[in-house]
Amino acid sequence: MAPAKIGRRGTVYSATRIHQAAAGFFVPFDAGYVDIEGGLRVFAHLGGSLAPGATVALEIGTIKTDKEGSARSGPIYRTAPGAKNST
Amino acid sequence: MIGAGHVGLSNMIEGKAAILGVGMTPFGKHEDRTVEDLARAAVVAALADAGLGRDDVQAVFAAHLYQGEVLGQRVLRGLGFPEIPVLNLENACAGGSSAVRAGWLAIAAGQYDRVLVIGAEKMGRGLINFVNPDLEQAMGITAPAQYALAARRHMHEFGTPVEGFAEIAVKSRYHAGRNPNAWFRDPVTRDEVLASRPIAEPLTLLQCCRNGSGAAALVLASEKWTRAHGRGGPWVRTSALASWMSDGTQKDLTDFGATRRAAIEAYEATGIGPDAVDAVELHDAFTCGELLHYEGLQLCAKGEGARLALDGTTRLGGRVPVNVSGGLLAKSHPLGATGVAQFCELTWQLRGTATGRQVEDARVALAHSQGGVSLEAGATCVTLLTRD
Repeated sequence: MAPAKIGRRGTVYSATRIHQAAAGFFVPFDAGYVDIEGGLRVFAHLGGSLAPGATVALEIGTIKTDKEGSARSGPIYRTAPGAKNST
Repeated sequence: MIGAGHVGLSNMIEGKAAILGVGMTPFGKHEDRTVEDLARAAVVAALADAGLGRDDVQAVFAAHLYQGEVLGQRVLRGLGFPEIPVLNLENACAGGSSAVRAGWLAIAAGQYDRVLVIGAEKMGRGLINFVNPDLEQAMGITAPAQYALAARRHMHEFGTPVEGFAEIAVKSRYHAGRNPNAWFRDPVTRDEVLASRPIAEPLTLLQCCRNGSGAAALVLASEKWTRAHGRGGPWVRTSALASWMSDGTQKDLTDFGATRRAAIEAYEATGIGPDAVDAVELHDAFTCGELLHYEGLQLCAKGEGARLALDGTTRLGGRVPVNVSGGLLAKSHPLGATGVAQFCELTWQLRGTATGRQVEDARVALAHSQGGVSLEAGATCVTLLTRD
């Protein structure tokens, strides 16, 4: 294995709204698999209800709090600038 | 890397083992009983059903996920078993069926004439807490979310309606109403299923199996010993085990788990095709899973799963009834016990003794179970059984 660069943009492969999750997550939240430029399919939080095929771009934001109540950051894919995504 | 990719057919073996006896506890909360107590009840029932005693058993295969060290020995100690070999086995939610497979294989390979298989689990409440959470779980994925994402992709690619998923929950309760071993036996309507609390959209509460505790056991015997003692089947004919291990490729969520590969191995090993299967117990941890497994087991073409649910094909009286026991959805899901309990139901079906829910003239049955940690790693087991 070797490090590889990935793009910031991707396409939503599938999406759900999670209503029941592990402690620390703010339910409900949107999440799904995103196909990233370069071939990876990753699970990540989504910024809002997005349908498969939506064009998204990577942001970093708070996705949960840890056991001490501190905010923890992670990838959140939101509608890409200029993209017109149906929900 | 040697053996990279899907070599396939590596475990394609056919060999008969008779199911001489089965036993299970009903699944439920069982808050006042220990896992050992539950397992002992199943073992005693299976031995009585087989007409055998503890001294007749040559080896034991015991499946569980969260019950600690040497569960099998702890169970058998309290029943006064002799000090025979015991293998404790974990394969996530496919552990029970993997233990049946291990028992069958030991017999098919000629190692033993009579073995005992046990599956048992005492469960807590809520979402399953994985011992080794992976990256996706750290990011917030859950087991129902995994299936929900598969459901959404299937809807996107094939136009599958949510009613197709909901009908599976309706069918499960319809079957469970005829099975005294099931836990959730009241009928529900499609509207009630869809209106129940959302868990991971589009999956609602009534489309998710509940945690439950319980145990199941069965006694397997070699064909030679069985015939010599004037006994018969039903028979385990083959059992195929497949895995998935994330390798960075893009997984097709509409082909969930390794169901298709395990099924192909089982069909090819026996020459029994999906059209010949009369009754199926499959891993319906979530309604969406059942629908995808219709396709993976090739009960229909890819994309057609909803039709099987909606036109009654998989309901009792249909062409290939699925989860006539009520499945995980109506029985609950005591992880290690689940796969073994499927064999209890299919044994009763092939004997023709599933009173109130008998699949007419059932001759061929299929058991399927699947477990793992999200898309990162998992196991699927498909076993074919015949009456004769």
